[in-house]
Amino acid sequence: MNNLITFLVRYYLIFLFLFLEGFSLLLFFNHDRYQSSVVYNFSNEQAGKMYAWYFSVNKYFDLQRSNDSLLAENARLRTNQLSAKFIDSFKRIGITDTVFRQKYTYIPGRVINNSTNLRSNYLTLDIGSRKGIEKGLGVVTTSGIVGISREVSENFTAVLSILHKDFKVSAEVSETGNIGSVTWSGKDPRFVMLEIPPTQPKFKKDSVYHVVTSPYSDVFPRGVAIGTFTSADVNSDNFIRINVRLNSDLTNPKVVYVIRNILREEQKTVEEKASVEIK
Amino acid sequence: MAAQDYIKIALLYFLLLFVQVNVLNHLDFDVPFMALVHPMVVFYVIIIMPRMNEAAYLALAFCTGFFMDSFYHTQGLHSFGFVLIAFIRQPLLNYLKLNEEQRETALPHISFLGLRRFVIYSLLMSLTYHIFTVMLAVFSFQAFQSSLSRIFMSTLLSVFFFVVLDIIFFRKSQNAQ
Repeated sequence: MNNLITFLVRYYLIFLFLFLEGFSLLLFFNHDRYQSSVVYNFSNEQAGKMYAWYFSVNKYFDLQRSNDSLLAENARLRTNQLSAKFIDSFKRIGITDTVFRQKYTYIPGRVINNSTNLRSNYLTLDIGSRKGIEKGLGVVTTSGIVGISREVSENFTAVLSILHKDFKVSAEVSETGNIGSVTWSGKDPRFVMLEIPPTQPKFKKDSVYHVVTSPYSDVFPRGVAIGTFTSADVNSDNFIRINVRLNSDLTNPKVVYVIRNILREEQKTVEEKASVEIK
Repeated sequence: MAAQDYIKIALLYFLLLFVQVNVLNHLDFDVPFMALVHPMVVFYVIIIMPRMNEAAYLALAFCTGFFMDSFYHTQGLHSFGFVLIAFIRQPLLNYLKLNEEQRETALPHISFLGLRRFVIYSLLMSLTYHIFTVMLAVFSFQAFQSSLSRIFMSTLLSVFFFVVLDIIFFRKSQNAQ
């Protein structure tokens, strides 16, 4: 026993070292467990406070640009308003609209921190669980997809950017209907990679194709813009890999919308039930 | 080592943390080989820390890494790297062949080690750090070339910053000697 104690005392530094390293690795590999989410939640809130403070100074330098983007969006929305449309029919039929039911709601938020220069990029938003944000909701700008909310504390949300090595979203080429998945190769924040199975798609020369989110995503509504490509960006070997130029400028997003899928819970329960019954 | 110096190091520590989080983490070089490269200046305080209780030193390194992690959203990654370099520091300083007395009072500055030994020292420290953190973060040998260029460019850039910082903040002690 004495020997053991002297052994421990003599080499306590090595044990401390191993303990700290082990603890770090445990945190690193157990990202999604509850225990680390407690640590995570705390640090997310603290880091968020710091970013919010920094943003409160920094936002003044960007007022012009964020105003411009809001004006552009206002203009676009106004053109879509009914009052902006010319009604060229004499007949008006009143319909109580039971065909459409709200499936997605949008919650606006401001980006207070953003990175594009890492392999795993995140954005921080100034809205949190108090505004109804949860883990795993889609985030978009007016021009396209941004990411998925990953960590949510009371007042802040960390969004896993589309420029993250773990990000993957189901996408479709809106012109041809090919479905594949979009990931980021980590080289250039302006491009992502679309991978589609080799099903003889024919991409014509000199025409631009649009990539949008597919109906198979339970996070994003169908048809949220991701990016564009031409036939010159297509590489085919086993899988067809396409370099897609992103629509949204992820180096400088100002205002984003978090998308809540109201029917998602229901869809999930049905899917879980189905998978249980098969087993 | 006067109390004054400890205060100086403590202030420098918070200054560098602030600069790291708010400025350097946002750097984005749009030139070949520099994608995803960003220098780690917080690291400087860890490598120049005067000799102290080794356990406290390891704990300090861990806390710093943990703090960085909360800003990068990589729980455990940077704390792993920081603890690792804190652990290899003493053997490394021994390797640089200081005599016994120097080892006791060792302050790893340019004024003390000389430029050549300081560069070797900080190069080895930050190379170890970047090799482990980059490979752990990527966790695959795909695109190994880009990982490799990230490791080397980050290391070189960090060492450059260390030398500049050391010349700015600790030149005085050279005059005193």
